[in-house]
Amino acid sequence: MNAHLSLKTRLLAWIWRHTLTCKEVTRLVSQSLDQPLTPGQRLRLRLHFLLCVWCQRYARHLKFIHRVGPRYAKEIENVGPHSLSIEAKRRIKRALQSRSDG
Amino acid sequence: MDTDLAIRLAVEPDNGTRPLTPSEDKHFVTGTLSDPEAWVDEYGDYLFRYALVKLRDEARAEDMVQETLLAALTANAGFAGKSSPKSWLIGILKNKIADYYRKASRETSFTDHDFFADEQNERFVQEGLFKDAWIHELGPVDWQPNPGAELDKAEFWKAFHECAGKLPGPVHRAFLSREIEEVSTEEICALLNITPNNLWVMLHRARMALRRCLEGNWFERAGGKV
Repeated sequence: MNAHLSLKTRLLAWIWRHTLTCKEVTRLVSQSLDQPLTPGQRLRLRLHFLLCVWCQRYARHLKFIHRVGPRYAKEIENVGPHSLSIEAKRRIKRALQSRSDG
Repeated sequence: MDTDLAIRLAVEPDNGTRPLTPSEDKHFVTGTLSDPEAWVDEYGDYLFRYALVKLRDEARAEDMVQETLLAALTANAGFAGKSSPKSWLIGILKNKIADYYRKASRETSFTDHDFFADEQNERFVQEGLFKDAWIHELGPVDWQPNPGAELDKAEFWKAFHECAGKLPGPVHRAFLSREIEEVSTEEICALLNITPNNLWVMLHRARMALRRCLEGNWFERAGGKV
């Protein structure tokens, strides 16, 4: 049924059927950041990476995010506000006032 | 007024079950905690920053500060100089944040959220021999030349912040706890009251969405496109 496909495509298709799909790889790559993979899982990932530059990049990107994440905790101080806004302070004071007035 | 009540309240801190009436209240406010409005100026920013680090959401952090101070007002007798006002207030804030997490994890059934229905399916081949492979044009691009060099740019963190902010509530919390605060998966499961399997799905989708957002909003714009 695939007679019209080139040999190369058919070879790739054969390999494809025996490896993980890209979608499965994305799940496994994420999982690898939270727990050790089994040797079998690692091997299947490696084999897939041999064929697929997109998943290689995906794994690189996820590792990058995983690696730089902790720094975000420090950087947020520069990104976000350091203190309550005047309006927020006013609002909270009003809330406290009305509560303590009963 | 009656000292018995004062002693009872000091021994059994009011846990918020019954607000003090104003007349009772006057008897128990002492020292730095006597003027609730001054708390806002004195401790507001400190509490806000703490809440912001935990919640990463300004509006929510403001609400938490307000709730904390209101609870402090109600439970003022419980303070009774046992600790510094600061650590007493942080203690209340921590409880409020934990309550918020518990409540949010009960209220949001994340499994039926659109976010989870969509595994960026449009980026994968839908059918045929190569079903579930990346569509090449839509697959991940090379983040060149060196993504590590971006880390010193404030704009990068702004993009990161915006992208992380787009994650839906529970996913956002799971992602921050795991990737930013480096909490163990077991602890996050306990905190959010979810199974390990749920957590893995959440983290997978969060990372996938954040990767895509960073690629679209930062790396391609920064000239990293292949």
